[in-house]
Amino acid sequence: MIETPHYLAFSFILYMIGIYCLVTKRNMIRLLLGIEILINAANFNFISLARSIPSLIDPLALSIVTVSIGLAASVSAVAVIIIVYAYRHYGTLDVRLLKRLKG
Amino acid sequence: MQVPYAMLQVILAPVLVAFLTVFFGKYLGKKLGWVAFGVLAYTSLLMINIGIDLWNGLGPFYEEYRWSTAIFDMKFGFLADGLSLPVALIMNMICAACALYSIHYMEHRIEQLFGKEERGMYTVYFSIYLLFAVGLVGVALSTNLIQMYVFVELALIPSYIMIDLFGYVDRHRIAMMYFIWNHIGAAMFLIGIALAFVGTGSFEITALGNLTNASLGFWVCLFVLIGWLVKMATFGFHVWLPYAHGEHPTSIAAIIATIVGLGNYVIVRLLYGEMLEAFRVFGTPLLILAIITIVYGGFLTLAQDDFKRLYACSTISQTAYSILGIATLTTMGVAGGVFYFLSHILGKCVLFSIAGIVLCQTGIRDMRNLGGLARKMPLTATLCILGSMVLSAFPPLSGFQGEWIMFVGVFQEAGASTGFTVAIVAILATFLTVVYTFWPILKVFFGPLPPSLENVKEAPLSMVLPLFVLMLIAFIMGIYPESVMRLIGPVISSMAP
Amino acid sequence: MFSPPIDILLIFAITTPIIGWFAERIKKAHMCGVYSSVGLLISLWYIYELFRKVASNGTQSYPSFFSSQLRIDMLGVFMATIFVLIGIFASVYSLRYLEKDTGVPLFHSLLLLMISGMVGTVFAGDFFTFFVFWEMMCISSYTLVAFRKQRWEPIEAAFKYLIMSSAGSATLLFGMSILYGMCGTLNFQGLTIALSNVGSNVWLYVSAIFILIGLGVKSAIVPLHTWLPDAHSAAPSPISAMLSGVVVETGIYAICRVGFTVLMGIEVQWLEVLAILSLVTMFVGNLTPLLQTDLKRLLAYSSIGHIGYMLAGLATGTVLGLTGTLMHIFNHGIMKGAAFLCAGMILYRLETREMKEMAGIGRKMPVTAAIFALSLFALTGMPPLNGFISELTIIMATVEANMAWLGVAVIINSVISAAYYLRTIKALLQPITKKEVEEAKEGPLVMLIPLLIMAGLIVILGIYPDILINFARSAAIALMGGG
Repeated sequence: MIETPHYLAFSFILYMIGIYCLVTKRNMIRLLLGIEILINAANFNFISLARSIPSLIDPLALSIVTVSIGLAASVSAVAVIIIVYAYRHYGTLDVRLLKRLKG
Repeated sequence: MQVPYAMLQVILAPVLVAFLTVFFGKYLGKKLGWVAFGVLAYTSLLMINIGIDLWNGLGPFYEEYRWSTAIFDMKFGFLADGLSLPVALIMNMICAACALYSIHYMEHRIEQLFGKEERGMYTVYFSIYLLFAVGLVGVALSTNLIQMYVFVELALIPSYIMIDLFGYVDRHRIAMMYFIWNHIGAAMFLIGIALAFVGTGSFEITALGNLTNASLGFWVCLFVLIGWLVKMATFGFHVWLPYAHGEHPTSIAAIIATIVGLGNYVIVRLLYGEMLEAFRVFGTPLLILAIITIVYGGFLTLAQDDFKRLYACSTISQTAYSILGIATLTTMGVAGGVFYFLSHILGKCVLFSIAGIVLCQTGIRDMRNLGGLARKMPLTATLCILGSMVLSAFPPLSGFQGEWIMFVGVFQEAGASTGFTVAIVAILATFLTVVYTFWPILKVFFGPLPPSLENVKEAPLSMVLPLFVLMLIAFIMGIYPESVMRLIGPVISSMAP
Repeated sequence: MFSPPIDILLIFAITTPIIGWFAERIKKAHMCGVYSSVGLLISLWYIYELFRKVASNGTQSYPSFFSSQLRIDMLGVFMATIFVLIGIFASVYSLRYLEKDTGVPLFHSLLLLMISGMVGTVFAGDFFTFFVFWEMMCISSYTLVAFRKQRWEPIEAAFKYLIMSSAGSATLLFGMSILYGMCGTLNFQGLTIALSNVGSNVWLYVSAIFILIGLGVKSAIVPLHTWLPDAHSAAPSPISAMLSGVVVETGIYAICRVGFTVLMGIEVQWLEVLAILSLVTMFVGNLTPLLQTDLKRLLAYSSIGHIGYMLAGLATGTVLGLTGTLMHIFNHGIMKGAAFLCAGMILYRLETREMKEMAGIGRKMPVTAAIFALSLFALTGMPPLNGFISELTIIMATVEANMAWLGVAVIINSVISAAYYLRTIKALLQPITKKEVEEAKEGPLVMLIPLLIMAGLIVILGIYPDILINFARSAAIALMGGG
């Protein structure tokens, strides 16, 4: 039987993977995937915690997750557009080569 | 007879005119100087009117306007009593005189810096000049600490812009230095105000007296004192002054010297007047600091070759005389300190303006290249001698009376042996003043005339005449010190416990 | 559906592109700008109506998504006023500023969306609504930063901004999910009640840290500030004014709201954590611009310093401190907005942001330069301008809350900041060296009008601050007292 703490641990691990991805990866697409992993960790957490509340599954959590997925999709849409333009400017997806802005 | 809203007019009229000059400045050009003089003369008359009533034993007069009462009790209050009115009046008259003086001077300076066509520069100059005067007079008349801070900063911004636009060598850097130092001083003052607010819950100056907590009182005193000592350029905080005063346009040099001296008034008003118990601790250190500054400033001045820088350095030493008087914490000493401050700004205004005239007419600042100008510029030479007499305390002029009253105070304090030593050193140091004020006169106005200066002409009357009026005031104060002491004296003695 | 101001904004946001399409047909390209400005004005009017309702009847409720609702109190009205006000200025200013760009209708549509996102954020009564509007604001701001897509700099800055900010949003969402797990609700009021029953436990700390990090990214608290100088300097100037003036402050608002309603149960002194953060933020924000030569980057960095001041007011945890913070948000919006719009005006004429290359521009553009100098003096905290009043309130609040060191730090920082603001003013006054500067003219009137109004506000709110103080205080009381 999988208990709530297991779900929680899983979502924390997912979150850490997302952060790790953001810190170490240099490819712009991978950075975007990192963001998606982060958002999904949060979504997963919502769902698993909604389950832990004794009554029925709370519609609030489901609705927030649904909306959040939609928002994540629009973020990635914007990000992909920016990445396409960046690729046109630089001819690469490597963020290390995007260092013209100082700090 | 009282003019309604007299003190509000004193503050608002120049501000309004300053705004109007922005729109009409283009058409008037250098005639704006007359406009500025007119409005300042008007405000001076208003203050003289109040002064007559004070002289007759009426008043003090008080006006109050609401500023913001939502959180803090912030009011614009104007108080004209025997102490604030003479200070405000004399500063205002100096500003008026310098407005006339600057007409010709700025014509010369603007032509040099920007070329003949820049009529817009007159607008800039005279509109911020008026704000400057408002700042000075406002500090003197304030009844509210925040209001005082506002006026202090109001005087600072225009002077920064003026140095930056119209100053001499390396003016941008010096303007920055001037601003930063003075801003630090003001910031210290603000910290003091904030601490005082914790103790009293009010920004009113009179509420400072309710500051019962001794240690808080100490800190308030310390911060206010440091803030103003920075502005007064006492020893240790004096770095900025020779540069700033040496390089800015001489038409406002006198006024900047006034800002420097204004610290004396503020210390008397806030610390001596309201928090004497807490201030007493600082008496002796201040006395020693003042004496160091006097001697140091004197020697620093002796070392100068530059005509303008000379008077700039002497400000350090002269301001310290007033601090000396205040630090004795005796009625006579404090009254003398304020009196001396007034006489010093009169004298210093004249001397700086002379330096400006010489610079304007000959284009030379180095005293080693000057000489024999008395034959070419007799009026200027007379003025210079008179101004030097004020500074070095020669009898018929005001400086003597100021020093006399002050040293009576110092000797009263002289029960302690340090006080006595201090008094002796200070009196000996006045000889330095004589040397450094008269030595340049000998160099610049007497002796052989260098051939290159054969064609020098006397300065126009619009420059010289206002200065003579100022000297006349100094003369009246000198032969009849009662004119000021009758106003200042009772206020100061009522402050003492 | 979401209260009249937001409805108006959303309707105008949707219809602006249509109007723009017609406007292009009849060759009157600026029509959609006028249209969106009108929309903002109507929205401002409705906010005023709302203000009257809230002032007389207390908190107003409007339905929102699903079962959640908007709860509008004085704080929400206060913040919304700033957002829409600065929005109007930016929108009017953009009429001429963007005349050389394509896609102007979309710009105005995104601007309206961003403003409605911000207004929705401050009207939200629960985390769900809050998050939806928050993301709406974020996504439209990413797009606006990257608006000039043909240049490399906006694209790069927007990417950096997007990655950091959406990581922040995700972190915020994660923190919210933990709070939800603890309480079973996301309503602010419900959370306060539920948390007071739960008491303090480790999950509360975890969620507090996640939420603070998430909001900290958006409000550019050091060390999470690195995106700000890039994004704010690369965006078109009206958007820089919006980002620096109000978007960043939305984060501060969120910290206020979350901090004072949700996290009050936390026993650790989170106010002192905020105080430390504020100290670091203001020093970093005021020391880094000393080295900048790029005008807009300098202004962007100084925003970080001002965030530090706002946090200082917040860290006192008193009504006075919160009043100071809110006033500073309002004043900073106007001051920094004016400064960025002036910088934009210079950029519009000279096409450069380097301060060296604009030496002496003040002689050629006197009105712009005068307003610029005024706004910079106000940012320094010079009396009697509006920045002084709010900084004074913050300083007084810190001293009263026994955090005098923080107040002293604010004063020291205002002295430091004077150095670089003066350097900027000096650059405007220097002798002219470049031919481009010699040929520059004063900016167009349409762009000057918002600037003149802002300059007027800077002076009026400095000399007569009572209205603003009362407004801010009633907002602060609504937060602290009403729960």
